[in-house]
Amino acid sequence: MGGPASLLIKHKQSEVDTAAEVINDTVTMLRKLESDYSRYRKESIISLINSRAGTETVTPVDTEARGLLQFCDSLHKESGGVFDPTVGVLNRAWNFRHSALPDPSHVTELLSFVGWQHLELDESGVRLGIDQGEVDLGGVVKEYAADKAAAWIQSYGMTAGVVNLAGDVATFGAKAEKAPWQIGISDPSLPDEPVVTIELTDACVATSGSTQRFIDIDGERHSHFLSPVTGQPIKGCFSVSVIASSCLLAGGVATVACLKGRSAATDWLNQSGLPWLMVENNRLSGPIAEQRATRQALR
Amino acid sequence: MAATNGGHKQPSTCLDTTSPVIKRLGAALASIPLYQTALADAPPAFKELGIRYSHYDEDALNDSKLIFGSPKRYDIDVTQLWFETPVGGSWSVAMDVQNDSMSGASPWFVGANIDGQPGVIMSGASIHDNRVEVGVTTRYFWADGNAGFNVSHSKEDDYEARSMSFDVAWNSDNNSRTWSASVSSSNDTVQPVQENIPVFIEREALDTQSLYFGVSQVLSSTAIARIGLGYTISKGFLSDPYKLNDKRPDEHDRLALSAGYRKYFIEQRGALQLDYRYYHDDWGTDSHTAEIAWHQDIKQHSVKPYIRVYSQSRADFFNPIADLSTTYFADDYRLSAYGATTVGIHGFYQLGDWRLEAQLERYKTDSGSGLGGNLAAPALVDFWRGTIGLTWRFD
Repeated sequence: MGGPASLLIKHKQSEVDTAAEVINDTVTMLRKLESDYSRYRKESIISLINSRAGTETVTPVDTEARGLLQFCDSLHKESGGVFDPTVGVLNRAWNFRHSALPDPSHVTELLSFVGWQHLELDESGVRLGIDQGEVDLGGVVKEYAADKAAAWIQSYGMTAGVVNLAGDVATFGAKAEKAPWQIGISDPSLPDEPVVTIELTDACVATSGSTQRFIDIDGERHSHFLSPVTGQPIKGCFSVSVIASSCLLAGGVATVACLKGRSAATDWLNQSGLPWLMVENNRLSGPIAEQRATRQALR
Repeated sequence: MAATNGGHKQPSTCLDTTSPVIKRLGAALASIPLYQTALADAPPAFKELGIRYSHYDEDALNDSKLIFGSPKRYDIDVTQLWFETPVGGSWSVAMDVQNDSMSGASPWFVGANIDGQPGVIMSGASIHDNRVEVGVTTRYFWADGNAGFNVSHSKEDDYEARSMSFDVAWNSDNNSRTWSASVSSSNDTVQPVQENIPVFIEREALDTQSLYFGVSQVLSSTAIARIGLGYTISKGFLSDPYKLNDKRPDEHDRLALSAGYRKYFIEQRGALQLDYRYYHDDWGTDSHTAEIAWHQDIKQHSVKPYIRVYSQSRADFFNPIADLSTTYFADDYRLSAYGATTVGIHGFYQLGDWRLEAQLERYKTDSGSGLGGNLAAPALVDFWRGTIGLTWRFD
């Protein structure tokens, strides 16, 4: 899942063995889920779709994959097109580790393979209608995996716990009576340094973006998110955390905020009506930060 | 940055956003099996207090149809007050109070005018009546469904009704299908008041029992259909004591088959609503009702224009001028063959935790649109109805 993961289950003393089994089963499920949607595994749904890109061959998908694609379609529309799971092909040009700018003509060439409108989904399955196009659901699968793991654990009768997949957190139940789970929100590049602690019960928090992965273009800092319209990195380097009833929804809203860029992110987040936190240049903003500041001022 | 303590406390209501964006994304989530289980039945997450006022105004009777009396018909003012609250994690309780204030005149009987055509003799001076109804519903929720029990009592000068009902809804494993059933019983007493017109009974009773069974099916992430069958039986005094020539059987069996379809169009942010109802009873009346509506979301508000078409056949013992030689007879226009068209618009305006509601409806009858021939009643009624309401949701 691209980072450290942890499963925490609250159980009775007599349920120790059961809890261990549940953890093992859940890890197995997560590994299978990751494998099913991995771009690097030839037999995965994503690899099959991508290998048939530009051909007439339709790839059948199950209800789960169909639902995830439909959610991506909805997010693509609601984001005004900035959320586009076919944008990954641009990473062939951009290398954020070395901060080197790519050849513009290469970016232009790759940009011609980008476009969610090329993905066709109907009763028979999925077809990516452009040669060399690639779809990547990595942007939603991790959050979905957190939700699925939480539901998986509860199906065994466990009533309280926390699933943390590289900073996307799903909680269920409470830590103790009247004691919610204390969840630290971090910059994804600095997972061990929480910037704020929130209390959650039966809620999820997802974080997108990074203050550490960036590239400087003309003296201006840009994030590692790429625009499906221009092929260029999005201006601004910040991370966004959103709280919602599901990790997938929280992650979708947070990711779109990062993709919209600094100037439009706040409007988008406020439009969602969900609690959010933005970290930029070590400064916190958003309803979560404001409530924290109010509590500190009242002490 | 160092970790800090005492951050943001997250009550569940903070996640109950009314954002249209989140509502649409939530609808897309519902296509994923994992999230369909999360839509299991649960009591409301908040308390709700509401008030609604309706004014119902019947058109005056056409002078050409009037033989005697005032052409002015009924006006009714209805005020409703309701309150609903969750109780614990699995229950909810709701209370409804309704007051109907009625004034006007109604047809007493139908006679022949100088041309031999049916004409209406009205009931004389305007009557004034007030009815109060109180109902309490308690509901229990579990993961796969909910069940409710209701008792209600209504009282007016000449009529008292006591009723109770029980309903249950059960969802299939993946929440794509909901089965519902209900049973109700009402025990009524009619004690007509002798004012402008003579009445010939002192006190009578009637009992009504009904049964309903239905199923709704999610067809896709944006479409749902339902079908239902209801059966009602009434026994006792079923005639209208305020009509001179009205003698009806002491039993009335009714069957109603209903169906509905809803399709949400994500890009248009609207939904098409289609409803149909077929009715049949043992008095000889059949009817069809069809309604088409378009529900349009406008940010967090909505508006719904609709049109409803209705057509019924006459009861076996109905005649425009009652035939007193038969065992049963009636000239009540509601038992005649006629059609009706309703055109209306219903809107909701959301302002934070407050929701304003307004509705306007026009109902027009047509004696030529009945099923199975004419024998038109001269006293068919047209009316306007307007409603405004205010609802407040709070923790």
